Amino acid sequence: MSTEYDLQKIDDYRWLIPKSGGMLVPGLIFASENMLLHIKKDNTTLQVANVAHLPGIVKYSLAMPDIHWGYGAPIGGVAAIDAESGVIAPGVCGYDVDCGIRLLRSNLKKKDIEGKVPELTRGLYQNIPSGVGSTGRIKLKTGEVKEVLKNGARWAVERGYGTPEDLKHTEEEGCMPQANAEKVSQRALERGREQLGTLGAGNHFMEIQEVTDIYDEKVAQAFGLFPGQITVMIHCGSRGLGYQVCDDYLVVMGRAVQKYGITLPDRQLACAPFKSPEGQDYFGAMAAAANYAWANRHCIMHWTRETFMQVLGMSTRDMGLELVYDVAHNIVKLEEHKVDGESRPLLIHRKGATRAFPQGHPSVPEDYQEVGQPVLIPGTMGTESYVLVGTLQAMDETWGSTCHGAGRAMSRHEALHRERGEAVRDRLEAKGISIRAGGWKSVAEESPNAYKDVAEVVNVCHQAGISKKVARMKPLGVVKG
Amino acid sequence: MKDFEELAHTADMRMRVSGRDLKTLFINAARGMYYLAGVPRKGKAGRVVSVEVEGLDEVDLLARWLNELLYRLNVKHTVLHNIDIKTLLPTKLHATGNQFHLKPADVQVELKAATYHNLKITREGKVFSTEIIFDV
Repeated sequence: MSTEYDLQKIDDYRWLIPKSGGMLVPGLIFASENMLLHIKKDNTTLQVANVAHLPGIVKYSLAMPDIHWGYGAPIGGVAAIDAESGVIAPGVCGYDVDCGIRLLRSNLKKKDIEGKVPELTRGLYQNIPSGVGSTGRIKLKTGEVKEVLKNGARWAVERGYGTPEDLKHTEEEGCMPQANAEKVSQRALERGREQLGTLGAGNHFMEIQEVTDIYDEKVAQAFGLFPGQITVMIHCGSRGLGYQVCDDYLVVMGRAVQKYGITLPDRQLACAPFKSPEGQDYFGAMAAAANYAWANRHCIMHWTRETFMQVLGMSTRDMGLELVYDVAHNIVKLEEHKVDGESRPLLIHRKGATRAFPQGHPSVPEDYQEVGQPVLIPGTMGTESYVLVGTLQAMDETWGSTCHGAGRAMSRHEALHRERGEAVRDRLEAKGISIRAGGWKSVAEESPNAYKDVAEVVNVCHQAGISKKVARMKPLGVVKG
Repeated sequence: MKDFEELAHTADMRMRVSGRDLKTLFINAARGMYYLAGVPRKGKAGRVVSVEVEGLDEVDLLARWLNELLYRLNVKHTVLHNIDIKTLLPTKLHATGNQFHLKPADVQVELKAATYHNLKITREGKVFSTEIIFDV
């Protein structure tokens, strides 16, 4: 599919889509020249330009280096919208509200789990429900779901899933205060009753990793990372509850677009003024879904620790499976940012993009204040993942945002036709990576060959300065939803 | 003219649907969606059920129709076969169908939603068609 928009080179890592038609601001894509082939072949420049039509958008419609074709906004898109005069758009957050990543560090080195990775992977697969429509070990009444929506990860900690220390290392400390469970539909609440503590399907995963490279000693030390260390990465979101919130509010926003006379190039970008009842209701419901996601990842983290204890016969103290950080990469946040030297409240829509706040920012945990916020970038089943750190430049250029992953380069359809899941498994096992999955079809769809080179994505972020490389981890064991 | 066919999409799933009239287009869209989700044809026979959906216009109605069926599939684990659309107005749809119960594991792909992205219904001669992107 060809693009309707030309790209103007600013420098080796920045490409401008000039303002035209109904665009209120230009588009700005962070990418290397090599990545442009994919970007142009896809429909993504059009989607970046479409986001630029949203009322109240400030400066640019941004795209991170892992940009690829989504729906409404591109995946890898960031939009800052004036909170006083602008809109809020569910389609620029996505259906899986607060889909995110968390990383656990350990005191373990590879020799400590030598020969036990298959057992650990099997244990994680057995102890943590995964797969299409997976339901969990926690069954909630509707009133209890509302408590999760209100309190987020705190709800989990109060019931023994995780510790208060974990909360300090979670974005928003695992709870957006703007959450309003009363604005979440009965259908969404119903979907939340049995899915807390479940991984789900698609690209969600858990991974046992080994730290192979340290790029910044000082920052790595602050994050508690060292070469040869075993880490665990968890990727999932708000499950059916979040999907339902987005779906419900796209209907609300469809009516709001007519009510407020908003003109948009794509119905998936349906929105309402943030200050309107519709805008406030969505923000409250979206924040509630985000809290559900943080509680979800907290429960999964707890069972991850239990699994390691069972398999290795070690105490949590000896293993030291502590939370490095948890980041959301599908979310709308109300943040203060400088616009032309003046601090203003902006609604930062991140769809497939990660917050990347710098050292000294009040939202960064106390023990990371001197270095900045950890940024967690998963690779694919067969390739490395990265830890980066937020930068001042990200605050200046991208509203404190950076990439969120490798980004797909190939459709699931094509991936399925190219390779069978069993062949992907064999290839990974030949590389020493143990894998457990609910079905081989999802393994084929998520084949490493279906993704861009995560190293190139991360290098563009690093070179452009919107986050800096800290550490690299290679996969040892993978659980796929 | 195929009733439905899967098209490539980098991150999600995309389907082209055709029908000799609008009602058939809506029925084929439902059949195609079940195909993408990997839903098996067999199931425990259920009773005839009714589905009513309202929308702002035909395009909105199409998205809401599919998302209503998706909710029933993902949450209630039911699939509708032998769909008969009784009423199809620009803002209202009434359909009936045989409801079959599935096991949760019968659904192979978790379709999160039928999206509105570039969603439109076109008519060329006597053929209605549309392209739908599903979030996966």
